Amino acid sequence: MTVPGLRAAASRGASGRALSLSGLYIPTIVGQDRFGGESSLAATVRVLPLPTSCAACVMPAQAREATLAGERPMARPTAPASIRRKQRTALIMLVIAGTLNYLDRSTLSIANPLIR
Amino acid sequence: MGLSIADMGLLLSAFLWAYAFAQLPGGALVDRLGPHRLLAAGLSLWSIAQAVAGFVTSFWQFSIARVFLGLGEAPMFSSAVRVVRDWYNVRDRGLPTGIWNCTSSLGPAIAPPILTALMIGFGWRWMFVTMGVVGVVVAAAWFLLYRDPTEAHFTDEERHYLTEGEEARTYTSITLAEWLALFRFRTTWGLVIGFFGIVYMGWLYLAWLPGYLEIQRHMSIPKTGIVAAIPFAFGVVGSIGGGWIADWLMRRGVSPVNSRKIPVIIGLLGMVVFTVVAAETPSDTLAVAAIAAALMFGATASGMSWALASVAAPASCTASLGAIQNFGGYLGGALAPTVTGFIVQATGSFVPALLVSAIIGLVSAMAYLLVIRAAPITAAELSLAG
Repeated sequence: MTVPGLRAAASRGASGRALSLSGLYIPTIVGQDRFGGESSLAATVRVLPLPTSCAACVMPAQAREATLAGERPMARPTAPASIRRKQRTALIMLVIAGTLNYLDRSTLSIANPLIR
Repeated sequence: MGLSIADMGLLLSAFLWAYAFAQLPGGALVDRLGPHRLLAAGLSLWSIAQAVAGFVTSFWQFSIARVFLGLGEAPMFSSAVRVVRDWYNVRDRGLPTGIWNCTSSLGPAIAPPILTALMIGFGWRWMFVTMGVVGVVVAAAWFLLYRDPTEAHFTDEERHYLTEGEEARTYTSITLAEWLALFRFRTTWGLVIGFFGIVYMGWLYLAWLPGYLEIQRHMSIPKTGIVAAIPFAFGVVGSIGGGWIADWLMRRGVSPVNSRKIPVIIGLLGMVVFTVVAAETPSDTLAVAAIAAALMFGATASGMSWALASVAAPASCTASLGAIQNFGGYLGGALAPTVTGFIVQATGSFVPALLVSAIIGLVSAMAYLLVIRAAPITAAELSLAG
């Protein structure tokens, strides 16, 4: 017994091999797609042993909390070149503006004796 | 101009209070209008106020210029946290946050030589005017070179990089109900209480380090000028290093929130330990080294607290959360110089003042540890709470 439409996503798996069907396909919302990271908050498919009651289909609250918090190793993402250019420009400008911000607020302290 | 020391104190605090109270509306405006327009406007306003300060002839004119300087500078760091949120993947935000936050150590370290040189070369009035003109040029450059994501077009690859690993983004403007709803989350209060301690400890050194070296350590004024700059240089290292560690932790599997919380808590505890060492040691050299270490850990804590704000809430209210945190911080920043002054006057020593700040730092570390929850605030939760 499977949920139509989810078979393809499940079959893709981490290794690309077809998964053996020993129970129900249970879609759960888990932080990130562990099969390739195509979308955030992706509906990921878990293969569970055939449960005896519907209560068993529900992900334990503690596990759900942990997955929503995102506790799992992740590869370093690679920013496309166009994004990297924008990041570089933004960061250089922020450093210049931030330094100027602190220089400007210091002027009164530095000039204190002369102003008085 | 015939100003008394008390007048100068009022002028200094005019900036601080305007800056602190402009945080709350400033952050919300950044989220509504975007850093492209808001930071350009803020930079222009503070630079014009700075240039005008070069022409003032009375205390009241100077006060107004300082208030506008505070109003203009208020959106700077909430804009920065929003820019990093908008243009970096969740796993890449630690280092850039550490880099822009290092300006809070770099600025105080380089301000004395640069501003003194301008003042000696052109006089104090032209120092203000020159800084104002430079600021207007930077504002124009920001407006011409930077674009908000809402003004850009993305390929699928770009969109995938920006959104992968966290809640899907919606570039909607924050509403008043959502902004108010932020205060119903314990994470917001944890950031406010925690940042209060970080900025309190930072401002104690910012305002009193030269006084501490002269009064407590009996250093000469020229020596103080040189020695006081050293600890802030270490702050640059702490800020950038903290950002790198946060990104490294996240790639090792630590959650977005915890990968920032851990460096913040370690940073605060380091700041507390080295502040106690600075207070208790009889050696001047060890005291300066301990203060340098305290400011290095402090910069790690402040930078990563900003990075925490960039992952703890939906994109649409990143700047608002950062600004609320900074409001709490600047309450601490406003209190630190005054409280320290009173304690030193009452006891004749900086030791109790440093120990009080260490206790405040410890309470802040506990706030980050216990109050801020591991899961970020989601858009759905925010909507429900509003």
